[in-house]
Amino acid sequence: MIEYILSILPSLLEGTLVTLEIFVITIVCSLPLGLLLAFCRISRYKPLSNAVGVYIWLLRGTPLLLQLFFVYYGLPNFGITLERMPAACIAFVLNYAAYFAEIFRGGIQSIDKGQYEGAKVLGFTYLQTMLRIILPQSARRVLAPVSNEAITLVKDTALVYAIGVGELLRATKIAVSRDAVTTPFLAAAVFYLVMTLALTRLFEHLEERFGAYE
Amino acid sequence: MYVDAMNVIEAKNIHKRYGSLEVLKGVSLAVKEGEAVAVIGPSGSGKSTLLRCLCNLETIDMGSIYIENEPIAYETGDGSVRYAPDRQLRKLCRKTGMVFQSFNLFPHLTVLKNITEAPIAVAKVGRKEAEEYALQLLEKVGLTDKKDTYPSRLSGGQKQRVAIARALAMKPKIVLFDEPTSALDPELTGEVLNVIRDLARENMTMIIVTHEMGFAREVADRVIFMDEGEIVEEGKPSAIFTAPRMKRTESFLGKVICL
Ligand SMILES: Nc1ncnc2c1ncn2[C@@H]1O[C@H](COP(=O)(O)OP(=O)(O)OP(=O)(O)O)[C@@H](O)[C@H]1O
Ligand SMILES: [Mg+2]
Repeated sequence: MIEYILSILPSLLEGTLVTLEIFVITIVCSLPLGLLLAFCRISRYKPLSNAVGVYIWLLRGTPLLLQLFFVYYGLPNFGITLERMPAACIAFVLNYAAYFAEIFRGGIQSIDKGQYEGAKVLGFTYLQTMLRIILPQSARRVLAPVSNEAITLVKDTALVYAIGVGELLRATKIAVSRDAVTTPFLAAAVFYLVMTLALTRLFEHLEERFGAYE
Repeated sequence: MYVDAMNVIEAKNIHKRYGSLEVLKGVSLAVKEGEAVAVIGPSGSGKSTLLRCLCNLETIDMGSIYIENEPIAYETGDGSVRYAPDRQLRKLCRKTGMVFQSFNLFPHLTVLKNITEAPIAVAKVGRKEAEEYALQLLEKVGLTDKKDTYPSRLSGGQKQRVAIARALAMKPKIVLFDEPTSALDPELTGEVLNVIRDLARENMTMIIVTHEMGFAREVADRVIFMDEGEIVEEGKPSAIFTAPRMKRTESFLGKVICL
């Protein structure tokens, strides 16, 4: 048993690396993109705000798997052909940015208008008010929902299996089919659990740090 | 006493409406350097709105506002109001400090940082200099030992004293107070009023909206009574409180003094 697990470990680890790669790329790109979209969404310029509203509706309103298929199988019809991995990352970034945009919008709008007024009478510009007063307070409030999304993302990465990217689930499935045993599933579950546990801890730590003033 | 002094702030015939509700119906007032003006009047008479227009938190629909004789907003030939360009507006408005009923401290910053944030970011004062001045102000409001505390750990009275220090840190030419003690438990109002009283003694120019009639009478050089968006009567506290000329003033004072 132990021997068997050790024998499949290298391929599972390789798969995990791909999973982590998708995870990191998605987080690193979709958080700033989400923030940008959030600012567009609350912009007073209606065409921009509405366009982003439609974007968010489309991306949150359709299955991620469908979006993944669209980017990988659909875009070639429009002359854009992507490798599996870039296709996967693009679909994930676009999708997660939509979720983060809504979380950030909520976080920004949850700040009392007295904070804006307090800053304005002291002479802060809009940008300074955002950077120094509003966003630091919003950060604390969005940590919990962002943490939720990050944990969902770890598990969502398994979807890229559907377009043949060699991540953890695919590595597992190959071992299961080849060796006709179910142990690899259990091993994979442990891998996912370790990743989500690490994330949970990280966010707990962040919440403590950002919440020091409460 | 103030005849020769400059007008720190001057509002001429300002009008403000929210939809169909006209909240300010042509208010004019001028505050001279060193003067403490108390504004009293019933709830909904437009006192807060007046202060908010003076510090550019609300835009006016008619009239003009000057700070040290420079226009924030003025009437153009066709009767519409034009505001100064953004940069200049911010620069002029920095001469006005505002203290809110609800404090509006920045909860994620310590007391010291609440006070130094604007001098450093807006007035471009060096950190060290800003901190030194902040400590002086904290001493003045009696909160030196709270400098590293977050606002959530302060009592209402302490919060308001920090808010006053924060406003003073920008070295304003005039400070506007909108019912600074109304959100406080009665036993905490004294400490805040003491700070304002000290400022009056130092000849800080101030407009104080208040329901504390005793305090207005004691501290103000001039009292303005507002009702239904208009200044009904103004004068020396002794005159307003003992011998109001207008019926509306008399009946208002009758009510509040009964309370
Ligand atoms: N943002 C707003 N939108 C619509 N109406 C408003 C707004 N702000 C104030 N008002 C109305 O304007 C009127 C004057 O309000 P204001 O707050 O200036 O009165 P006030 O004299 O400060 O009263 P109080 O003593 O209760 O603070 C009120 O009738 C109020 O309902
Ligand atoms: Mg008011």
